[in-house]
Amino acid sequence: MRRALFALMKLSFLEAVRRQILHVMVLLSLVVIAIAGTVSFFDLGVQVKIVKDTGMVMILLAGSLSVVFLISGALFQDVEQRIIYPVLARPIPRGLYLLARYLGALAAVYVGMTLMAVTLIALLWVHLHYVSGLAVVAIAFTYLEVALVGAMAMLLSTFFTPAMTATLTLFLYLLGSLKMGYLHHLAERNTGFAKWVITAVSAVLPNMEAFRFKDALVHDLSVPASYLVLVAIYGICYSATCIALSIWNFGRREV
Amino acid sequence: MRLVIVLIVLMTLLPVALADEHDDHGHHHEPHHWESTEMRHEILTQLGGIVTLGVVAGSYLLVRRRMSA
Repeated sequence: MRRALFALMKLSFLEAVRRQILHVMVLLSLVVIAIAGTVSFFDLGVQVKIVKDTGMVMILLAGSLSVVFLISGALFQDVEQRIIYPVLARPIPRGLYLLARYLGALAAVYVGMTLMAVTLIALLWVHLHYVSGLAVVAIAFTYLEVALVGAMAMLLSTFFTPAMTATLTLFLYLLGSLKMGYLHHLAERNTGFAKWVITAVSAVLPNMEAFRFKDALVHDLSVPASYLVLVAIYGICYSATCIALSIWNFGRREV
Repeated sequence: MRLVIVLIVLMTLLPVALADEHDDHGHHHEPHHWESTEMRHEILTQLGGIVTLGVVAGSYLLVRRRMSA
């Protein structure tokens, strides 16, 4: 079973790295990060902040968009093109196939994100001659956030078409990013049924803001280790829940 | 076409994402999320919900497997 998982992951990875969208996202982000790091209109302190800010934003945006567009159409295309039938005809569980598709696409996105992360760290090294541990931590939690977005996309792809999946995932990602500020404020201002709906939606949505330590990196602030552990466990559990629900839904539908 | 949509979304979100809320003039600002007890409470509540869901689902699958065995 493990061999089948790795074989399918490898196929999914190779298919994902050939997709043009990933190349464009990575290339665009590398160009923006490089420009932020090399064009110097400001003094060193401000320049470093700009490099950190731009680098973290580009890694997150490129990773999130890439994973959404890679995963949103993966299952649908496999079913439409009948690629899935000979795979499932072997004794390979549907859940294993879905998990392999998710992990393979995620690995491809991580390769792109690693290129961007290495570029960012290299630029920080050039400017500061050291790299703080917080930079590595902030980048690691960006990887976790992208994994969570990918898991959400995979869950929605078992219900909807690729276009609807991509749109809904990006919408939920945006809502999850505004959850603590906007949605909570909205729930406080409303009453009755509206408040109940907003509270219910807010309770289910993932808290995307929790994974972002860009401000801590840019302004050299310290973050408690206990909070980092809590957020890591939260991210892994939420992603695992989305994948488990995807497996459950994909298992019970007809292909 | 999809590429154009990606680029438009990227260009639209980039200025929003780059907006810095930090105020250097000593005015009051919202605490960062790692300093916020509300955030910790929110995360713990969701984590509790996920664990509960996992325990319920796991128990259901166990019972179903024993009944079908």
